Amino acid sequence: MSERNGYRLPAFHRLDLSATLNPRKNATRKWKGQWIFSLYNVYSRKNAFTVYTRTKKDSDGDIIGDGTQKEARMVYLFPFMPSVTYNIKF
Amino acid sequence: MKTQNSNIFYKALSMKKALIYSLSLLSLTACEETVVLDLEETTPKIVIEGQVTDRAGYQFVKVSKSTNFYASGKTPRVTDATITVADDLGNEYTFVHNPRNHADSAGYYLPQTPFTGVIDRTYTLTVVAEGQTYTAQDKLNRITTIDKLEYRIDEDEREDPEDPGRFYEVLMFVKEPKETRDYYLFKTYRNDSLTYNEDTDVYYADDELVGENIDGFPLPIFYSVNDLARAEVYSLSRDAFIFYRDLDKLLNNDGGMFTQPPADPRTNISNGALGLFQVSAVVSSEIRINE
Repeated sequence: MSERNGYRLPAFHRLDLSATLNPRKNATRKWKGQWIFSLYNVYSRKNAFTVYTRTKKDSDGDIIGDGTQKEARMVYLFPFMPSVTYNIKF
Repeated sequence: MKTQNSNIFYKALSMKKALIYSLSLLSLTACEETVVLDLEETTPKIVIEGQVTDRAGYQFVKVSKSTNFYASGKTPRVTDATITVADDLGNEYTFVHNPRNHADSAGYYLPQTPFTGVIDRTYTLTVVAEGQTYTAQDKLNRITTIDKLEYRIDEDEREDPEDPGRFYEVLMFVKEPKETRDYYLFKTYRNDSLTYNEDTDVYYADDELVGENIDGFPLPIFYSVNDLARAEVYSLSRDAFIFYRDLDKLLNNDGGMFTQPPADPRTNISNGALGLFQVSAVVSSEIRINE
């Protein structure tokens, strides 16, 4: 329960994992490569970016009921996202 | 989960939404969902909406009470308030509750003897409700006249109308006096019913960024053939302008990083009541759309 001006957004937490692969040396090459495999937001938590209020609407944006009802909407950004990086050293 | 990347082509994106969407483009899957807030209840506040103008029949005061965020339906109305409006010459007008006993006018108070406001006079509203006294003051600023209205077909709207057949745009022509700082509120009617483009729209302006000749200022809504278009312009004091600006920002707060935290609009009413006592001069003009 929260009083006026006392509302806090839900807790933010997130797990990221990453692993780096250094390939075995290739003596004939003049440069070194490195692979990085990352997982962002592993358990895909919906972390609140913001919460705003509006007239109660359905998913098409049409007002539900007589327009006197309100609702709170939470916006969250990135869900689970894998990524691959390749670095070059020379 | 729905992708929002197509939304970036919507017109009139606010800056903060543009930012949210461009961030979400990076992942292609930013989302939004309805959440239920666990809120405490506070003591309801008195809400006063008073209007005095220089036009007969436009004088009223509405008294209601604030309600919970998740409440629905009409707000509770206060029907036993004592209300007077006085001008700076000592004339005093008593307002009585719903004298014609309209079922949907509970909480509305009308002057016992009809009167109209006079330009450059200052009016003081006194409301006694539930043992508390609330007062407010506002000045009746003069207003320029609307020279004319014109209409034309909006080609984009004709190709893809939001409502079938409604693609006529109505333009307003006004001369705005530049020697004074003026503030305005606009109301647009379609066949005598007050209409907004979006239900949370507030149409207000100051004259800081406009020239003297306003030629073809488009009304916010579209019309179809045979519709009667009417525009009303109200002069506002600076206090009233600030109220409407606050109200607009509050109603259209999208929670982005450039919006202010939600707060009650600043008001000219004393003693902690919400609402506004607005004293205005009114001009209006109308035009029927013919083919």
